[in-house]
Amino acid sequence: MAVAALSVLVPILAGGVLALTSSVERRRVAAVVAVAAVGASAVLLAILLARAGRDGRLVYWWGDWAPRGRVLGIDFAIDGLGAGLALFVAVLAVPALVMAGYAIRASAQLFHGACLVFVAAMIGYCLTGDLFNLFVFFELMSVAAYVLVGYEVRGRAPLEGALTFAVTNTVGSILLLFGIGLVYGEAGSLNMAQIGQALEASGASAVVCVAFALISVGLLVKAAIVPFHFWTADAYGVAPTPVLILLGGVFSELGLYGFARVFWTVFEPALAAHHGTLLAIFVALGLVTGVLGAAMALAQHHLKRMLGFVVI
Amino acid sequence: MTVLPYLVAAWLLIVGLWGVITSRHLVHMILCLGVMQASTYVLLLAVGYRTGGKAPIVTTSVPPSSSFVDPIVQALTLTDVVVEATVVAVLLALTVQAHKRFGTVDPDELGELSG
Repeated sequence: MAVAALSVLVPILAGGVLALTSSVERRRVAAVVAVAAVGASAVLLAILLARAGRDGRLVYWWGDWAPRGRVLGIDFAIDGLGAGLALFVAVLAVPALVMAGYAIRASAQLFHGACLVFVAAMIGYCLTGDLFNLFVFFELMSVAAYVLVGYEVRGRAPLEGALTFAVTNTVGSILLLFGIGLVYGEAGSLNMAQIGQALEASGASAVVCVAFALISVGLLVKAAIVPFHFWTADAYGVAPTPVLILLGGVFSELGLYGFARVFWTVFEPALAAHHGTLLAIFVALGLVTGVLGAAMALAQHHLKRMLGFVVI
Repeated sequence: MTVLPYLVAAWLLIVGLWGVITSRHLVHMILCLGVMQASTYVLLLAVGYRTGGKAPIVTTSVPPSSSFVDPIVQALTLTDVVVEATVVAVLLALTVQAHKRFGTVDPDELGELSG
Protein backbone atom coordinates (compact mmCIF):
# COMPACT_ATOMS: atom_id res chain seq x y z
CA MET A 1 0.00 0.00 0.00
CA ALA A 2 2.97 2.28 -0.28
CA VAL A 3 1.57 2.98 -3.74
CA ALA A 4 -1.08 5.26 -2.26
CA ALA A 5 1.43 7.19 -0.17
CA LEU A 6 3.90 7.50 -3.03
CA SER A 7 1.34 8.91 -5.44
CA VAL A 8 1.11 12.00 -3.24
CA LEU A 9 4.68 12.08 -1.95
CA VAL A 10 6.48 11.89 -5.28
CA PRO A 11 5.06 15.16 -6.69
CA ILE A 12 5.44 16.98 -3.36
CA LEU A 13 9.07 15.96 -2.94
CA ALA A 14 9.84 16.82 -6.55
CA GLY A 15 8.18 20.20 -6.08
CA GLY A 16 10.14 20.81 -2.91
CA VAL A 17 13.43 19.91 -4.58
CA LEU A 18 12.66 22.21 -7.51
CA ALA A 19 11.79 25.06 -5.17
CA LEU A 20 14.92 24.55 -3.07
CA THR A 21 17.20 24.58 -6.09
CA SER A 22 15.35 27.39 -7.81
CA SER A 23 18.31 29.78 -7.69
CA VAL A 24 20.01 27.51 -10.19
CA GLU A 25 17.53 28.30 -12.91
CA ARG A 26 17.39 25.37 -15.32
CA ARG A 27 14.16 25.63 -17.25
CA ARG A 28 14.43 22.41 -19.30
CA VAL A 29 15.55 20.26 -16.37
CA ALA A 30 12.77 21.61 -14.19
CA ALA A 31 10.16 20.85 -16.85
CA VAL A 32 11.48 17.32 -17.35
CA VAL A 33 11.56 16.62 -13.60
CA ALA A 34 8.02 17.96 -13.19
CA VAL A 35 6.60 15.91 -16.06
CA ALA A 36 8.43 12.80 -14.82
CA ALA A 37 7.07 13.24 -11.27
CA VAL A 38 3.51 13.67 -12.45
CA GLY A 39 3.85 10.80 -14.92
CA ALA A 40 5.09 8.51 -12.14
CA SER A 41 2.19 9.59 -9.97
CA ALA A 42 -0.24 8.86 -12.80
CA VAL A 43 1.16 5.34 -13.20
CA LEU A 44 0.86 4.70 -9.45
CA LEU A 45 -2.72 5.97 -9.46
CA ALA A 46 -3.59 3.73 -12.39
CA ILE A 47 -2.34 0.78 -10.35
CA LEU A 48 -4.45 1.98 -7.40
CA LEU A 49 -7.53 2.33 -9.59
CA ALA A 50 -7.09 -1.20 -10.91
CA ARG A 51 -6.75 -2.55 -7.39
CA ALA A 52 -9.72 -0.56 -6.11
CA GLY A 53 -11.82 -1.83 -8.98
CA ARG A 54 -10.85 -5.39 -8.16
CA ASP A 55 -10.96 -5.32 -4.35
CA GLY A 56 -13.53 -2.63 -3.58
CA ARG A 57 -12.56 0.21 -1.24
CA LEU A 58 -8.90 0.20 -0.20
CA VAL A 59 -7.94 1.75 3.12
CA TYR A 60 -4.39 2.86 3.83
CA TRP A 61 -3.51 4.02 7.35
CA TRP A 62 -0.67 6.51 7.54
CA GLY A 63 2.02 5.55 10.04
CA ASP A 64 0.27 2.24 10.64
CA TRP A 65 -2.25 3.87 13.03
CA ALA A 66 -4.93 1.31 12.25
CA PRO A 67 -7.97 1.66 14.51
CA ARG A 68 -8.01 -0.35 17.73
CA GLY A 69 -11.54 0.27 18.90
CA ARG A 70 -11.48 4.01 18.18
CA VAL A 71 -10.16 5.65 15.09
CA LEU A 72 -7.12 7.78 15.89
CA GLY A 73 -5.13 7.71 12.68
CA ILE A 74 -5.48 9.40 9.32
CA ASP A 75 -6.38 7.24 6.38
CA PHE A 76 -6.68 7.26 2.64
CA ALA A 77 -10.01 5.63 1.76
CA ILE A 78 -9.56 4.87 -1.93
CA ASP A 79 -12.54 3.81 -3.99
CA GLY A 80 -13.11 3.88 -7.72
CA LEU A 81 -14.38 7.46 -7.79
CA GLY A 82 -11.53 8.93 -5.77
CA ALA A 83 -8.79 7.01 -7.53
CA GLY A 84 -10.34 7.73 -10.92
CA LEU A 85 -10.53 11.46 -10.26
CA ALA A 86 -6.96 11.53 -8.91
CA LEU A 87 -5.78 9.67 -12.01
CA PHE A 88 -7.57 12.24 -14.15
CA VAL A 89 -5.80 15.05 -12.30
CA ALA A 90 -2.40 13.45 -12.80
CA VAL A 91 -3.04 12.69 -16.47
CA LEU A 92 -4.28 16.26 -17.10
CA ALA A 93 -1.21 17.64 -15.37
CA VAL A 94 1.16 16.04 -17.88
CA PRO A 95 0.18 18.19 -20.90
CA ALA A 96 -0.23 21.20 -18.61
CA LEU A 97 3.36 20.87 -17.41
CA VAL A 98 4.67 20.16 -20.91
CA MET A 99 3.01 23.36 -22.06
CA ALA A 100 4.39 25.21 -19.06
CA GLY A 101 7.85 24.12 -20.11
CA TYR A 102 7.40 26.10 -23.31
CA ALA A 103 5.13 28.93 -22.20
CA ILE A 104 6.58 30.03 -18.86
CA ARG A 105 9.79 32.00 -19.23
CA ALA A 106 10.32 33.88 -15.96
CA SER A 107 11.00 31.98 -12.70
CA ALA A 108 10.04 28.77 -14.46
CA GLN A 109 11.53 26.49 -11.83
CA LEU A 110 9.39 27.99 -9.06
CA PHE A 111 6.36 27.73 -11.33
CA HIS A 112 6.98 24.02 -11.85
CA GLY A 113 7.50 23.55 -8.12
CA ALA A 114 4.22 25.29 -7.31
CA CYS A 115 2.42 23.26 -10.01
CA LEU A 116 3.73 20.01 -8.56
CA VAL A 117 2.52 20.96 -5.07
CA PHE A 118 -0.84 21.89 -6.62
CA VAL A 119 -1.17 18.49 -8.33
CA ALA A 120 -0.02 16.59 -5.23
CA ALA A 121 -2.56 18.40 -3.05
CA MET A 122 -5.36 17.62 -5.51
CA ILE A 123 -4.40 13.95 -5.56
CA GLY A 124 -4.32 13.80 -1.77
CA TYR A 125 -7.69 15.57 -1.63
CA CYS A 126 -9.27 12.91 -3.85
CA LEU A 127 -7.89 10.00 -1.91
CA THR A 128 -8.32 11.00 1.73
CA GLY A 129 -10.86 9.57 4.16
CA ASP A 130 -10.27 11.98 7.06
CA LEU A 131 -12.20 15.23 7.32
CA PHE A 132 -9.40 17.48 8.60
CA ASN A 133 -6.94 15.92 6.16
CA LEU A 134 -9.44 16.90 3.46
CA PHE A 135 -9.32 20.46 4.76
CA VAL A 136 -5.51 20.56 4.82
CA PHE A 137 -5.24 19.33 1.23
CA PHE A 138 -8.06 21.70 0.25
CA GLU A 139 -6.12 24.66 1.68
CA LEU A 140 -2.85 23.52 0.13
CA MET A 141 -4.38 23.24 -3.31
CA SER A 142 -6.12 26.59 -2.88
CA VAL A 143 -2.93 28.39 -1.86
CA ALA A 144 -1.02 26.83 -4.76
CA ALA A 145 -3.85 27.97 -7.04
CA TYR A 146 -3.68 31.57 -5.76
CA VAL A 147 0.04 31.63 -6.50
CA LEU A 148 -0.33 30.07 -9.93
CA VAL A 149 -3.28 32.20 -11.07
CA GLY A 150 -1.51 35.41 -10.12
CA TYR A 151 1.75 34.30 -11.67
CA GLU A 152 2.03 37.04 -14.30
CA VAL A 153 1.87 39.60 -11.57
CA ARG A 154 3.17 42.45 -13.66
CA GLY A 155 -0.18 43.08 -15.30
CA ARG A 156 -3.05 44.78 -13.49
CA ALA A 157 -5.66 42.21 -14.44
CA PRO A 158 -3.86 39.10 -13.13
CA LEU A 159 -3.23 40.84 -9.85
CA GLU A 160 -6.85 41.77 -9.35
CA GLY A 161 -8.05 38.37 -10.53
CA ALA A 162 -5.74 36.61 -8.14
CA LEU A 163 -6.78 38.85 -5.22
CA THR A 164 -10.50 38.31 -5.87
CA PHE A 165 -9.92 34.59 -6.20
CA ALA A 166 -7.81 34.41 -3.06
CA VAL A 167 -10.10 36.44 -0.81
CA THR A 168 -13.35 34.69 -1.83
CA ASN A 169 -11.85 31.24 -1.54
CA THR A 170 -10.22 32.06 1.80
CA VAL A 171 -13.55 33.18 3.22
CA GLY A 172 -15.04 29.91 1.94
CA SER A 173 -12.33 27.83 3.55
CA ILE A 174 -12.68 29.63 6.90
CA LEU A 175 -16.40 28.79 6.88
CA LEU A 176 -15.48 25.21 5.99
CA LEU A 177 -13.15 25.01 8.99
CA PHE A 178 -15.81 26.48 11.27
CA GLY A 179 -18.18 23.74 10.11
CA ILE A 180 -15.52 21.07 10.66
CA GLY A 181 -14.96 22.33 14.21
CA LEU A 182 -18.68 22.03 14.92
CA VAL A 183 -18.82 18.53 13.43
CA TYR A 184 -15.90 17.43 15.59
CA GLY A 185 -17.63 18.77 18.67
CA GLU A 186 -20.75 16.82 17.80
CA ALA A 187 -19.19 13.54 16.61
CA GLY A 188 -15.90 13.27 18.50
CA SER A 189 -13.95 11.95 15.55
CA LEU A 190 -12.37 13.20 12.36
CA ASN A 191 -12.58 10.03 10.31
CA MET A 192 -15.40 10.52 7.80
CA ALA A 193 -16.86 7.05 8.13
CA GLN A 194 -16.85 7.20 11.92
CA ILE A 195 -18.44 10.66 11.91
CA GLY A 196 -21.21 9.29 9.71
CA GLN A 197 -21.92 6.57 12.24
CA ALA A 198 -21.77 8.94 15.22
CA LEU A 199 -24.03 11.52 13.59
CA GLU A 200 -26.58 8.86 12.62
CA ALA A 201 -27.18 8.38 16.32
CA SER A 202 -27.63 12.07 17.02
CA GLY A 203 -29.83 12.79 14.01
CA ALA A 204 -30.51 16.18 12.44
CA SER A 205 -29.87 18.37 15.46
CA ALA A 206 -29.40 22.12 15.13
CA VAL A 207 -25.61 21.85 15.41
CA VAL A 208 -25.46 19.23 12.64
CA CYS A 209 -27.60 21.39 10.36
CA VAL A 210 -25.53 24.51 10.96
CA ALA A 211 -22.31 22.55 10.45
CA PHE A 212 -23.64 21.05 7.23
CA ALA A 213 -24.60 24.52 5.95
CA LEU A 214 -21.15 25.95 6.72
CA ILE A 215 -19.27 23.02 5.19
CA SER A 216 -21.48 23.16 2.12
CA VAL A 217 -20.77 26.86 1.64
CA GLY A 218 -17.04 26.29 1.90
CA LEU A 219 -17.03 23.48 -0.64
CA LEU A 220 -19.53 25.08 -3.00
CA VAL A 221 -17.48 28.29 -3.20
CA LYS A 222 -14.72 26.07 -4.60
CA ALA A 223 -17.22 24.38 -6.91
CA ALA A 224 -18.44 27.75 -8.24
CA ILE A 225 -22.10 27.04 -7.67
CA VAL A 226 -24.49 30.00 -7.73
CA PRO A 227 -24.48 32.17 -5.57
CA PHE A 228 -20.80 31.61 -4.87
CA HIS A 229 -19.58 31.78 -8.44
CA PHE A 230 -18.40 35.39 -8.65
CA TRP A 231 -14.72 34.63 -8.41
CA THR A 232 -14.61 32.21 -11.33
CA ALA A 233 -14.66 34.48 -14.36
CA ASP A 234 -12.08 36.86 -12.89
CA ALA A 235 -9.70 34.06 -11.92
CA TYR A 236 -10.05 32.17 -15.22
CA GLY A 237 -9.67 35.33 -17.27
CA VAL A 238 -6.19 36.06 -15.97
CA ALA A 239 -4.53 32.72 -15.32
CA PRO A 240 -1.65 31.61 -17.52
CA THR A 241 -2.78 28.91 -19.92
CA PRO A 242 -1.04 25.87 -18.39
CA VAL A 243 -2.68 26.73 -15.08
CA LEU A 244 -5.97 27.12 -16.89
CA ILE A 245 -5.77 23.52 -18.10
CA LEU A 246 -5.56 22.27 -14.54
CA LEU A 247 -7.90 24.86 -13.09
CA GLY A 248 -10.66 24.42 -15.64
CA GLY A 249 -10.27 20.70 -15.85
CA VAL A 250 -10.41 19.71 -12.22
CA PHE A 251 -10.43 22.48 -9.65
CA SER A 252 -14.16 23.11 -9.48
CA GLU A 253 -14.94 19.46 -10.11
CA LEU A 254 -12.94 18.66 -6.99
CA GLY A 255 -15.13 21.08 -5.06
CA LEU A 256 -18.15 19.08 -6.16
CA TYR A 257 -16.38 15.79 -5.42
CA GLY A 258 -15.54 16.96 -1.90
CA PHE A 259 -19.11 18.06 -1.39
CA ALA A 260 -20.46 14.70 -2.59
CA ARG A 261 -18.00 12.73 -0.47
CA VAL A 262 -18.73 14.75 2.68
CA PHE A 263 -22.47 14.66 2.13
CA TRP A 264 -22.78 10.94 1.44
CA THR A 265 -20.28 9.72 4.03
CA VAL A 266 -20.71 12.19 6.86
CA PHE A 267 -24.12 13.79 6.71
CA GLU A 268 -26.44 11.52 4.79
CA PRO A 269 -27.19 9.12 7.68
CA ALA A 270 -28.05 12.02 9.97
CA LEU A 271 -30.10 14.02 7.50
CA ALA A 272 -31.88 11.09 5.86
CA ALA A 273 -35.26 12.33 6.98
CA HIS A 274 -34.88 15.52 4.96
CA HIS A 275 -33.44 13.80 1.92
CA GLY A 276 -36.18 14.92 -0.46
CA THR A 277 -35.93 18.58 0.54
CA LEU A 278 -32.16 18.64 0.27
CA LEU A 279 -32.26 16.92 -3.10
CA ALA A 280 -34.70 19.52 -4.39
CA ILE A 281 -32.53 22.39 -3.14
CA PHE A 282 -29.35 21.09 -4.71
CA VAL A 283 -30.97 20.21 -8.02
CA ALA A 284 -32.41 23.73 -8.15
CA LEU A 285 -29.01 25.29 -7.41
CA GLY A 286 -27.39 23.11 -10.05
CA LEU A 287 -29.98 24.11 -12.64
CA VAL A 288 -29.63 27.81 -11.91
CA THR A 289 -25.86 27.48 -12.05
CA GLY A 290 -25.95 25.69 -15.37
CA VAL A 291 -28.34 28.16 -16.98
CA LEU A 292 -26.53 31.21 -15.62
CA GLY A 293 -23.15 29.88 -16.68
CA ALA A 294 -24.35 29.17 -20.20
CA ALA A 295 -26.06 32.55 -20.56
CA MET A 296 -23.07 34.52 -19.32
CA ALA A 297 -20.70 32.46 -21.46
CA LEU A 298 -22.63 33.47 -24.57
CA ALA A 299 -22.26 37.13 -23.62
CA GLN A 300 -18.46 37.02 -23.31
CA HIS A 301 -15.92 38.28 -25.82
CA HIS A 302 -12.81 37.20 -23.93
CA LEU A 303 -12.00 33.53 -24.49
CA LYS A 304 -10.63 32.76 -21.06
CA ARG A 305 -13.53 34.44 -19.28
CA MET A 306 -15.89 32.47 -21.50
CA LEU A 307 -14.15 29.32 -20.36
CA GLY A 308 -14.65 30.42 -16.79
CA PHE A 309 -18.38 30.75 -17.29
CA VAL A 310 -18.54 27.41 -19.09
CA VAL A 311 -16.96 25.79 -16.04
CA ILE A 312 -19.67 27.27 -13.88
CA MET B 1 -20.30 30.10 31.21
CA THR B 2 -19.78 27.38 28.64
CA VAL B 3 -21.67 29.19 25.88
CA LEU B 4 -19.41 32.26 25.97
CA PRO B 5 -16.53 30.92 23.79
CA TYR B 6 -18.99 29.91 21.06
CA LEU B 7 -20.58 33.36 21.12
CA VAL B 8 -17.14 34.96 20.91
CA ALA B 9 -16.26 32.75 17.94
CA ALA B 10 -19.49 33.59 16.13
CA TRP B 11 -19.02 37.31 16.83
CA LEU B 12 -15.43 37.30 15.54
CA LEU B 13 -16.55 35.48 12.39
CA ILE B 14 -19.29 38.00 11.66
CA VAL B 15 -17.19 41.07 12.45
CA GLY B 16 -14.32 39.76 10.35
CA LEU B 17 -16.60 39.02 7.42
CA TRP B 18 -18.14 42.49 7.64
CA GLY B 19 -14.66 43.99 7.68
CA VAL B 20 -13.60 42.04 4.59
CA ILE B 21 -16.70 43.12 2.67
CA THR B 22 -16.53 46.82 3.52
CA SER B 23 -12.77 47.25 3.44
CA ARG B 24 -11.09 50.07 1.51
CA HIS B 25 -7.51 49.01 2.18
CA LEU B 26 -6.03 45.67 1.21
CA VAL B 27 -3.91 45.25 4.35
CA HIS B 28 -6.99 45.97 6.48
CA MET B 29 -8.90 43.37 4.48
CA ILE B 30 -6.21 40.76 5.11
CA LEU B 31 -6.22 41.55 8.83
CA CYS B 32 -9.99 41.07 8.86
CA LEU B 33 -9.41 37.67 7.30
CA GLY B 34 -7.04 37.10 10.23
CA VAL B 35 -9.86 37.94 12.63
CA MET B 36 -12.08 35.36 10.89
CA GLN B 37 -9.28 32.81 11.23
CA ALA B 38 -9.02 33.63 14.95
CA SER B 39 -12.70 32.80 15.32
CA THR B 40 -12.02 29.27 14.08
CA TYR B 41 -9.18 28.86 16.58
CA VAL B 42 -11.46 29.98 19.43
CA LEU B 43 -14.16 27.57 18.26
CA LEU B 44 -11.79 24.61 18.02
CA LEU B 45 -10.32 25.21 21.46
CA ALA B 46 -13.77 25.70 22.98
CA VAL B 47 -14.89 22.37 21.51
CA GLY B 48 -11.95 20.62 23.15
CA TYR B 49 -12.24 22.12 26.63
CA ARG B 50 -13.31 19.90 29.50
CA THR B 51 -14.23 21.56 32.80
CA GLY B 52 -11.58 20.73 35.41
CA GLY B 53 -9.40 19.03 32.84
CA LYS B 54 -5.65 19.31 32.97
CA ALA B 55 -3.22 19.92 30.14
CA PRO B 56 -2.88 16.62 28.25
CA ILE B 57 0.59 15.68 29.48
CA VAL B 58 1.09 12.51 31.50
CA THR B 59 3.89 12.85 34.08
CA THR B 60 4.79 11.06 37.30
CA SER B 61 2.36 13.24 39.27
CA VAL B 62 -0.42 13.27 36.64
CA PRO B 63 -1.68 9.70 36.07
CA PRO B 64 -3.17 8.65 32.71
CA SER B 65 -6.60 8.29 34.26
CA SER B 66 -7.03 11.99 35.10
CA SER B 67 -9.39 14.21 33.18
CA PHE B 68 -7.60 15.96 30.32
CA VAL B 69 -8.67 18.55 27.82
CA ASP B 70 -8.80 17.24 24.27
CA PRO B 71 -5.36 17.30 22.62
CA ILE B 72 -6.69 16.63 19.12
CA VAL B 73 -8.25 20.08 18.77
CA GLN B 74 -5.01 21.64 19.96
CA ALA B 75 -3.22 19.84 17.13
CA LEU B 76 -5.94 20.97 14.72
CA THR B 77 -5.53 24.57 15.85
CA LEU B 78 -1.77 24.50 15.36
CA THR B 79 -2.19 23.01 11.88
CA ASP B 80 -4.79 25.64 11.15
CA VAL B 81 -2.48 28.47 12.27
CA VAL B 82 0.22 27.26 9.89
CA VAL B 83 -2.18 26.91 6.96
CA GLU B 84 -3.69 30.35 7.47
CA ALA B 85 -0.26 31.93 7.90
CA THR B 86 0.60 30.64 4.42
CA VAL B 87 -2.57 32.15 2.99
CA VAL B 88 -1.91 35.52 4.64
CA ALA B 89 1.66 35.47 3.31
CA VAL B 90 0.46 34.94 -0.27
CA LEU B 91 -2.16 37.67 0.06
CA LEU B 92 0.33 40.14 1.50
CA ALA B 93 2.75 39.39 -1.34
CA LEU B 94 -0.02 40.21 -3.83
CA THR B 95 -0.76 43.41 -1.89
CA VAL B 96 2.89 44.49 -2.03
CA GLN B 97 2.84 43.92 -5.79
CA ALA B 98 -0.34 45.96 -6.07
CA HIS B 99 1.24 48.87 -4.25
CA LYS B 100 4.53 48.62 -6.09
CA ARG B 101 3.10 48.48 -9.58
CA PHE B 102 -0.11 50.43 -9.38
CA GLY B 103 0.39 52.70 -6.40
CA THR B 104 -2.94 51.79 -4.85
CA VAL B 105 -4.07 49.44 -2.12
CA ASP B 106 -7.76 50.19 -2.45
CA PRO B 107 -9.54 47.03 -3.59
CA ASP B 108 -12.26 49.07 -5.28
CA GLU B 109 -9.78 51.00 -7.38
CA LEU B 110 -8.20 47.89 -8.78
CA GLY B 111 -11.25 47.06 -10.83
CA GLU B 112 -10.20 46.57 -14.42
CA LEU B 113 -11.69 43.26 -15.46
CA SER B 114 -14.59 43.27 -17.86
CA GLY B 115 -15.57 41.80 -21.18
